[in-house]
Amino acid sequence: MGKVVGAFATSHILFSPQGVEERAERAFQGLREIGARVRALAPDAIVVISSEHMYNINLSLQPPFTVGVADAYTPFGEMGVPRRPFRGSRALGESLVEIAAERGFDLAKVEELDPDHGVALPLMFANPDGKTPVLPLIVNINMTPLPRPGRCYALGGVLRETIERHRPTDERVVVMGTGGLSHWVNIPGMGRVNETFDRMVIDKIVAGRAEELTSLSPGEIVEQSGNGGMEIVTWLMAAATLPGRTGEQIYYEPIPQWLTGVGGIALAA
Amino acid sequence: MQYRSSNANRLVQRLCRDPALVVRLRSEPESVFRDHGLSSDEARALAAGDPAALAAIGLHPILQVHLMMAMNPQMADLINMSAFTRRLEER
Repeated sequence: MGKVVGAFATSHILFSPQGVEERAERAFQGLREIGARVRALAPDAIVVISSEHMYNINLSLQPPFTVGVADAYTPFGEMGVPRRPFRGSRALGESLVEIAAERGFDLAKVEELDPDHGVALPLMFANPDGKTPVLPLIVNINMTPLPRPGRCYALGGVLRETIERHRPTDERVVVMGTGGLSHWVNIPGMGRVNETFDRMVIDKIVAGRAEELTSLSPGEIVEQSGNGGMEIVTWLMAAATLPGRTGEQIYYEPIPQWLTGVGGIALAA
Repeated sequence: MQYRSSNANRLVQRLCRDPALVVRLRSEPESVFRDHGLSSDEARALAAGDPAALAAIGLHPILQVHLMMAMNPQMADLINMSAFTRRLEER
């Protein structure tokens, strides 16, 4: 059976450091640290769970959850992310879709995906040469109904089961949830950062208590951390692959000039 | 989520994959609005680019960002990681 050898969660943006040089540098170094830890685990595959920013999945077709099953991906390339291809893990994607169907999740598959910064930016640090096969798992936070945290956490559990029971012996998998933390994207409240909520989320997850956050409704998350804050469901999904495990905060910076609080954590296997 | 199905959303979600359309939108917006069947309210809101007006016509918040990045290169430069990309390349 395979093994989840590490679970991480991180914000997936870096903006211009102009005017916020020190905080931006700490965020950059935080991403570097997470990338170094992922690479040190020498994974056979990396699962990146992210939202999508309507470069691929827009209003035309709105699947709640989408699994990449391509053999390779080229990033969309917005926001300064280089269009450097990386390998895909079709086999792991197909396994997840199959097992999820048996567990009550009918997941969309995608062969044609140009991963946006949500997937591609963290991989610039975690998989810079693109040689480690990647499984993108996209959670749609841009549609209604919004994804329920409990449902997302349960799907993270199905991902864990897929890796542990249905993958080849000794396959080493790292799971990364990306996005967040609080940010209000073009809705009232834009520019606000809810540091209290952000730190609560981080503290709960690194204390091995991520499941407690599933009691939050989507409405409560949006109220506390904005429409962009819904991305914390990807953190919960990553945490669900190592349930109850504790970890540590790697970085956290509230950066109103970037319109968000950014942070990252690592959970030990 | 504050949006509704509309020609404005359909137009803006095309921008990220159609650079020629972005060029046209910058140079001859009224023609683009007409070609895409926008109502006068939608055309006014997109031309103004004001978040409140865009919300009022039901443009999806994420697509509002797409529109801003297409129409305002200076903003697109701020929402950009290039300053760090160079340092990663040097690794």
